[in-house]
Amino acid sequence: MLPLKVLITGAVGAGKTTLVSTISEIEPLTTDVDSQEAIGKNQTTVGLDYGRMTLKERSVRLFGTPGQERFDYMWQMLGEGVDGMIVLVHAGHDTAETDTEHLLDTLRAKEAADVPFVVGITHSDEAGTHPEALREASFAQRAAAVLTADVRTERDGQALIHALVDAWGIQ
Amino acid sequence: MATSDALHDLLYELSDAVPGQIHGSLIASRDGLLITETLSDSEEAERIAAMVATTLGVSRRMARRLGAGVLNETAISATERRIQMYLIGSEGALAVVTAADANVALINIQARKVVKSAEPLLRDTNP
Ligand SMILES: Nc1nc2c(ncn2[C@@H]2O[C@H](COP(=O)(O)OP(=O)(O)O)[C@@H](O)[C@H]2O)c(=O)[nH]1
Ligand SMILES: [Mg+2]
Repeated sequence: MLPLKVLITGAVGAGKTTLVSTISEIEPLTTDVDSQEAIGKNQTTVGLDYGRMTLKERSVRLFGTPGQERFDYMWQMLGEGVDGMIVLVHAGHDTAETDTEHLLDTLRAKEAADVPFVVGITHSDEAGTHPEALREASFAQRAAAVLTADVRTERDGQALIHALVDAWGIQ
Repeated sequence: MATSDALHDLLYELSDAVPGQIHGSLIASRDGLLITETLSDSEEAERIAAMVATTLGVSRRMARRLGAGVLNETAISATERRIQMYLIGSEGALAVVTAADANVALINIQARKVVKSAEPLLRDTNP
């Protein structure tokens, strides 16, 4: 059986790199460097995150993207041939909804994103966030599932990938 | 003189040092933000700066995974042009677009001089 390919995408700081390292069974490959912009954290992904896991006896390859628009060619490159996506959305970002719609539009324009996806709403434990409002967003309506998730935890990371397995209908 | 002007001058000195072989160059931050450039197609410079960050980021990781040591440079060789890329300290990146048949050894020497001069300038802008 061919390995499945999962794209982990979303805006900067949503938790993509964290999720790949949480659920990968191998030591993940990361390409984070120090960020010169103020993005709410010190490091940022310039290339990709790569990890691998096994699900229902199938090998799953995990590819995390950079978040900033200037890396949109990586969204398209990594999005080629994906079987499903996990879209992470930072509950505390004012522009989370439009940023996420734009990212999904860019992927769809390249016909990379016509695949099932689940949405993970992150950082909802932080003060001043509004995770519930994001459930009404149009991308959330198209999602196979919308979960609030702290992707630093194994439990929530597994919940996201299992929601995708349910969407695929793999027994 | 502003730092970006000083860096821009370094790029001009580079093309003067290897006459007729350099089609343009740029300096970007390691996370892909354009700082200064002398490319013939300036409109592309911001996107190229991000790609330089990706290429060097992936190259550095590949070198590490293969136990190849510390990255010196990454090169792209294409039919019409070569693109040489170098890290500048821990902050920056230099990319040089040359003729396909350029003297790579000479360009490496001159580019490393630029890297050496640019490093303290970049460090000053990012305290
Ligand atoms: N408080 C909180 N922090 C989180 C949560 N999810 C991720 N983080 C943190 O937010 C940061 C996200 O960074 P990163 O994974 O690099 O995001 P990326 O830009 O999407 O790759 C990391 O410091 C994580 O530890 C969450 O649900 N709650
Ligand atoms: Mg990341």
